[in-house]
Amino acid sequence: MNPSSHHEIIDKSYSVEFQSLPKLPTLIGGLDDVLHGGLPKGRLTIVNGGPGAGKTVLGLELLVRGAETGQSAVFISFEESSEAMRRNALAMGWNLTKIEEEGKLALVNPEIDYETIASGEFHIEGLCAILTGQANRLGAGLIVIDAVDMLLRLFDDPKKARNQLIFLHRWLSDQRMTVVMTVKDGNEKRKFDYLDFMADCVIQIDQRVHEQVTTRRLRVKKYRGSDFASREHPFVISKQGIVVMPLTFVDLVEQSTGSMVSAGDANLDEVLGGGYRKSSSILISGPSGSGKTTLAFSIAAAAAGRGERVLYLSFEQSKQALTSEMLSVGLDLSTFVDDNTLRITAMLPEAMGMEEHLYRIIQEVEEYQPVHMIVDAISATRRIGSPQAAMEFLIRLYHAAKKRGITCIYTNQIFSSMKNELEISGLGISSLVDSAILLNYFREKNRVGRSLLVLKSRGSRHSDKYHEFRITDNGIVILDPQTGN
Amino acid sequence: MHPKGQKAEKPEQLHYSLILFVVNEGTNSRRARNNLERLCEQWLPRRHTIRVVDVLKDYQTALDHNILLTPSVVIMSPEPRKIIHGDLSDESKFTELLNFKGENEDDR
Repeated sequence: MNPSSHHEIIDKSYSVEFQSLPKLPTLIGGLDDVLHGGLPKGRLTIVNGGPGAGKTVLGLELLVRGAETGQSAVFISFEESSEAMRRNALAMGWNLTKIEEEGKLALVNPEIDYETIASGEFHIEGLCAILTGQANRLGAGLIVIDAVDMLLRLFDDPKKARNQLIFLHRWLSDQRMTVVMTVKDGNEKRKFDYLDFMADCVIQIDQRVHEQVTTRRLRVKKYRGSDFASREHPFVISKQGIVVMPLTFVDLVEQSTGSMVSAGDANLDEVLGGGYRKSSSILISGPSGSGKTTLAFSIAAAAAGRGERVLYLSFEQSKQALTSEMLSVGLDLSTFVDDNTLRITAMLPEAMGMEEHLYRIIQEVEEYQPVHMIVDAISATRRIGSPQAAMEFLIRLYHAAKKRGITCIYTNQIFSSMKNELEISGLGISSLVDSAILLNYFREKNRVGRSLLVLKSRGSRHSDKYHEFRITDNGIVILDPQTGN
Repeated sequence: MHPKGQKAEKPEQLHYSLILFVVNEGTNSRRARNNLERLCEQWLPRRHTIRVVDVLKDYQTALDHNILLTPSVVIMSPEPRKIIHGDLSDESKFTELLNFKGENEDDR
């Protein structure tokens, strides 16, 4: 992974100035960043996605967020009854009945009878009249049409369906309505391709399962007259609604690293060139059992001892296993946990998708407000899904921490200890971190020793030598850098 | 089509209550109206009522009856309620729906 490669997944084109088009903010977490302000106001947006991708939730949240700021909306579903809609929304904590009572929402749920007999010409004007009628009654500027593909099935002739939809589109744009139509992706999708051409904005969402882990992605395929963040963005459907996690320009506004602090041991500080910088990131790599976790906790214990909060994210061990392991090397974590200067969160990488992990961690960070964060071990994040997902996860986590000025310690298990010393993370994060420490074993006659090498430490004159260290009952002891004793 | 209980009653004694949903007074609407009136005169002389709803003026009735497409005819009574979309230019669809053909042939 070369230093420039992480730029590839960053949208460089973000510009606030380029906004000739009036936009309607969606107020959905992260979505306005991706859309550079919101949906095209008074125009049509299409949301494509397979079954279960989250189209209806997106549609519902649009009107819920709108209602929160006093805007009214009409929601028409061709798939689910209004009752089911109210129930589904309630599961997300959205009380549609209340919004309806406040006069900010009209739910329309026509039951379509596909067996209905047709005789001669008919048009979609009835629907147009209903939508306009309801919108005018509420003073609504937003109309969400859920599962428009179901409506189109009323027309046996695709050409006719298309003409009717064009009619509906013109009708609603004449009324200056902001319209969002959701369309089910599927075998029949090609039949409705013209919807994408018609719309000013096209959003594609999907849900994939890779190695039994589900991930959700959102991509803006098209946005007429506007800039947008065009790559795929992971999103979650959380209890609070949809949260899109774009990696945009905004995330790159890093806080610069701060003053030097002690790593908790005079010899370690000397090797590092005077300790490490606050708000920096440190990578500790090494083979299994080389002392990565112990070293990370030694640094963390020093921080917690100064009263700085440490959030420890464990992807490999349970809280209990960690606590007893650290106790055996003289680090009593329970005192820090009791003081609330340390919080250990164990997560199973396989348990959920990348964005879900990220979302939970960010929630935890927001709530706990740590000064330090330890991620043990980034090698385990591969189990979240693909190497691609792991890399994205780490880069996002890295930026989330940087943005908040949190000092991060990442541990990484390397497998072929002698071959790939410089490719210490294997996940593209090594070029991003401020400091990198490599732990290893060495053989001397008939004993095995442990070595520590500082590969880099930005802005400090760190040692370029291998230093022997021992793991004792009292934590890590680095032999005197000068004398080696 | 008819529920068993009504089968005994002679179809020609039943009164038909229909709603025609249209938009505005366009050609399409007028054609539907003319067709419906003509068909009713032919098949249901003096035993039908037609209510015309312009959905632009009264969308609520359209909503109550799930009418998204216009023109549409809703046969409210006799039960069961039936819907036919279109301007009724295809007469056979209308007569099929109401079983008129069958009934008339029986009468002969």
